[in-house]
Amino acid sequence: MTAFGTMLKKEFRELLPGAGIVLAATSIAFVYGFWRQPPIEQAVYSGWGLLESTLVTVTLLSCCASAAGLGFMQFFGETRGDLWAFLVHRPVGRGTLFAAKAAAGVAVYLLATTIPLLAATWWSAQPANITAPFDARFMLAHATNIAAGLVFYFAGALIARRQARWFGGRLLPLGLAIGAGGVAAGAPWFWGALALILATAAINALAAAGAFLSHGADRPQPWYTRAALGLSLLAGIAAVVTFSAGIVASLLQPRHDYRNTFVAFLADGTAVLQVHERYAGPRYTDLDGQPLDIVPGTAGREVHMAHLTVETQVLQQNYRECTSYYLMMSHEWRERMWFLQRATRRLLLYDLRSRHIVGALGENGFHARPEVATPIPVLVRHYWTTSLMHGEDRVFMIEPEARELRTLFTAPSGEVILAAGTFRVGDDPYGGVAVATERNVYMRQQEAGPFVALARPNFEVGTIQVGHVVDQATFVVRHAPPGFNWGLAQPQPQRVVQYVSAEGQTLRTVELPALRFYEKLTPTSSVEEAFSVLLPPLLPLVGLIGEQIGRGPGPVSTDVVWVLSLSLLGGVISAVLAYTRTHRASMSHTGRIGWTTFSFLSGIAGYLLLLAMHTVPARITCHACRKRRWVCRERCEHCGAPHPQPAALITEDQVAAPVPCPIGPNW
Amino acid sequence: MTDPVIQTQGLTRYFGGKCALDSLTLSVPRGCVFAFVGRNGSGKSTTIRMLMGLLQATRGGARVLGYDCAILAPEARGRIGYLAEGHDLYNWMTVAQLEAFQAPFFPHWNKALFDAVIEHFGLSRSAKARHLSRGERAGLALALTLAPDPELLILDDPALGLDPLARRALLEAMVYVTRRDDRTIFFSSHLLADVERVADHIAILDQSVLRAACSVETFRRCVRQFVLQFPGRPPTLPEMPEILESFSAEREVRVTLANATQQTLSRLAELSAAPLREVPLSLEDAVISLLSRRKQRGFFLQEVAS
Amino acid sequence: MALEFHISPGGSVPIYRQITDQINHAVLAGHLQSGDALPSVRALAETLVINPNTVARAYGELVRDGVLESQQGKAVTVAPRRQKYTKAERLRRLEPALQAFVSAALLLGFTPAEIGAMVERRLAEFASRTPGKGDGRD
Repeated sequence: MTAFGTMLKKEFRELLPGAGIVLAATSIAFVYGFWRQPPIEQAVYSGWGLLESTLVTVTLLSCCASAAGLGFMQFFGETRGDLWAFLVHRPVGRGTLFAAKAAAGVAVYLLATTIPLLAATWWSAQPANITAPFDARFMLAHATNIAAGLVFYFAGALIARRQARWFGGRLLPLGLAIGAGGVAAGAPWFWGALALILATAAINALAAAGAFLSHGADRPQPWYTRAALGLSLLAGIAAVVTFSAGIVASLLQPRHDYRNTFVAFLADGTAVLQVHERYAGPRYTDLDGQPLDIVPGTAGREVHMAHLTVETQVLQQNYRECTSYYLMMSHEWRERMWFLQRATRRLLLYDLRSRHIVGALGENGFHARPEVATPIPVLVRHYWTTSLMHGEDRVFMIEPEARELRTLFTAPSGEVILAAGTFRVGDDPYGGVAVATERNVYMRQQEAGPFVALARPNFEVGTIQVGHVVDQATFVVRHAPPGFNWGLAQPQPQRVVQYVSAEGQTLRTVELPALRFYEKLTPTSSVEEAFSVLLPPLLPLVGLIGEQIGRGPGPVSTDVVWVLSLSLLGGVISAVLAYTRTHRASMSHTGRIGWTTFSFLSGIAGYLLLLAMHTVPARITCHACRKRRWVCRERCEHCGAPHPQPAALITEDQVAAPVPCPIGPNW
Repeated sequence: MTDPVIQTQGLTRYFGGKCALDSLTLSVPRGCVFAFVGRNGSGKSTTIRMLMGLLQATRGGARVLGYDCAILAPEARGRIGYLAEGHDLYNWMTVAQLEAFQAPFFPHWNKALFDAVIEHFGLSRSAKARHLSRGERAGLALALTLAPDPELLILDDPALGLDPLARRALLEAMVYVTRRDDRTIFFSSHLLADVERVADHIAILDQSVLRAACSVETFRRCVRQFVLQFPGRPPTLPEMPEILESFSAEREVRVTLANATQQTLSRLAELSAAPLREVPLSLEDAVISLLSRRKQRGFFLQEVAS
Repeated sequence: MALEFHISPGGSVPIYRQITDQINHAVLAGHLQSGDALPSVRALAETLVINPNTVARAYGELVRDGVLESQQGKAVTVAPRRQKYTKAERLRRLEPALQAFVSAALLLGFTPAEIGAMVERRLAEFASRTPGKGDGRD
């Protein structure tokens, strides 16, 4: 058997209890997640089956925790001096030993997590087990969860192996792992998330390999494992700095005053500003800011608007959400529910009692066998349009009783429908329908009523809100260009409000002021901003340059100036600290310049990284020039004297050469 | 064959601000049994761990079998048998499993030798390392170290905590290794009787500094003890670099000298009322004299007793 | 014939000296005869659990002193008795033992006559054990 194989065998045997624990933890996570699945009514928010949000979170946590534990236990057992000596003192490189250990650990971890996942997938794919339809791609979320565990596995190994000068410093590699966990939980693209997670896993793996090669010491390590360790630690340090700065700032600043301002419409169609301040309910002002005597929250005071986000993009896919695979339609149906299967563009009718698919509604009508139904030309452009579907040329909805599609609106030839939505008319919450095409907005007030066309004077893809004012039988249409500026504190662009008669005549137009959605009321020299000393100057600098390029040259707000100058101050302090530290650490000229520059650009985090990665050698008094010299250098850096060589008292030289022995030891 | 198997040059290690080994320059010739002696914490284990590439030197360097110790190559490890202090092994493995784990790594695994050693220590092949006594563990670790037929054997305090039988078996194994005269043993020990039995070279570390490195015979010849006699209370002796230690009793002073020349002896003879009398020294006494730091002293509990 | 060695490390007498003393004594006492083979260096070292170089050194010293002889490739044997030291040298070598013996005997209260008688008696014992070579002295 080869050395690698022998090592693998030993590792598998040692990992057996750990594998059992990981297997149990993952299985329990799945069982718990399925056990406490919420009722189907909440599935719009929480998802269902394998993608139910609690289940996904619990398995992510269990994967991460058990992988970190597995990695730590696997490597920590061999850190004791003599067992370590026994392990590494054999004629193979430490790299091979690490590779065998890591291969065994990764294999055991993957097996112990994949088996429960496959079992859970099989179980939830069986009809009658889960209250909503299944898709094999539901597994992908768990695949990235398991991958994120790999980063934790190597972080555990690194924590076990690396010797840090202060104990908390050993936990820093968790920063990168937590980041990878965040990517798993948050990133909407599967392959991108997987690639990112595997890249961070590779960084932590390299760093762990380096710590293994050097028995946890700084050196000797190849440059790439040092670099990986640096990245891993930097992520941890950045997390700690940000977190602690946030906590200190929030402790020091008990009152954080702010103001949110929105445009709202009263029941008579008047546009007003709704202002929220901290510790106060909303109050109303007119568009010029004069206070209005309106009691907030009074029923019927405000117009219900159809919110049409006019986008040319199809709804973004997030592989971790059920909406990427199925959209729930017609919530009011309690026993049966319609799901739009996005891959096939069929409407599945699902029986919530028997948990079976009853049939599918397609362009060619309803069929008991779903594969017979032909795809519906529906465009899924926005999540809110699920009760009202539209294709490029028509808007339609499901007639639940009749199990057929009903067309509400057909676009004039040459126009493509970009968005459709409903708004409240009188007592009917979905009575009003608004449709936006590239050129026009079409509106109708009641079911079966005629659509009124409104040509948009300044068309831009953005947000259009449509509502209805009951008494005056007018539509309220508000246009806003898309997107926000850099930061919510910047004035948000607002356009116009048009009041349109039932016949489509524009009665009047009101210009809206540019609004700051978020205004900070405490002064800019607040304690919170003082903590931008801790920020890497690179971040606000890049932000400022980006803003100047994106918006064109313009005035810079005082907030940005404050943050930038404070973070620059922090960078300068870090650079000075780093320069003196590199001097004390007896570093080469290039190393000193490099670390100083890095500390300037990355602020206090760069200096902390220097502290974590370089130990300072002892200094003693030079016997020749009486100055302090480093013990690690052969020659004194002041006078060039070598270290004195202590002379042994008794050596062979002090006696005459011994008489050669006439009898050899082999007689 | 004449090049030294171990050669260190100014080997130094600091732990933080504490010096564990100061500029050790030492050379171990091939084919000898080299004893490394010193008090606890004098830097013996630190030296050995640096030689085995388990610890990074702060300054200086070392070569073992011609290989740089800082990055000890795998092929060098195959030629060195290393028995670490404490004889740690995988506790969950049995004797047979440990052999199966160790053997595939070494091309010249001598199964007969392994079996002979574990039989000598009375070990069952199915016994778990966890359940072995200290001596049995040492035997198992020794068997695992000897079976690859190493050219150089480095033993870090192998006799620590062993009973007399296990110690004797250890010495027998060391004598067995010397059957081939190209085999070298480098071992650290506190037991000077053992050192005297098997070692032909000795190096003595005192507070991280090398104080002696020579053959055992040379060492014994260089360290000598004489008795000076006086009619009354002995006077304080003059400062002489050769005096390692002097011990004042009622009417005599025992002086231990290193590298004493004829001149030294005649100077001392002038002080003494009677002719100098040489007292034969055991190896242990000689080492203790070398390591004792106070040059002039009486019985150290004298003040307590009176 | 079996020659039993007793090694006690830790004493003030080096191990090689203990071996030479014991061989010398055995030769003088007649336990070893001229031509008798001694155990090989390797065998003796392994029996006594000591470094083979120590045994080799002891044998070497005895060969130099003419007590043992060795031919290349053959076992070490006891040499025929002959003297290679001058009378003065022999006296010098005997002096410490003589001094110690006489002072111990006087200290213990033996009279010179008694001491003489004891020496005579011991010499007679040696003579009776080694009949062929009892007259080696000059």
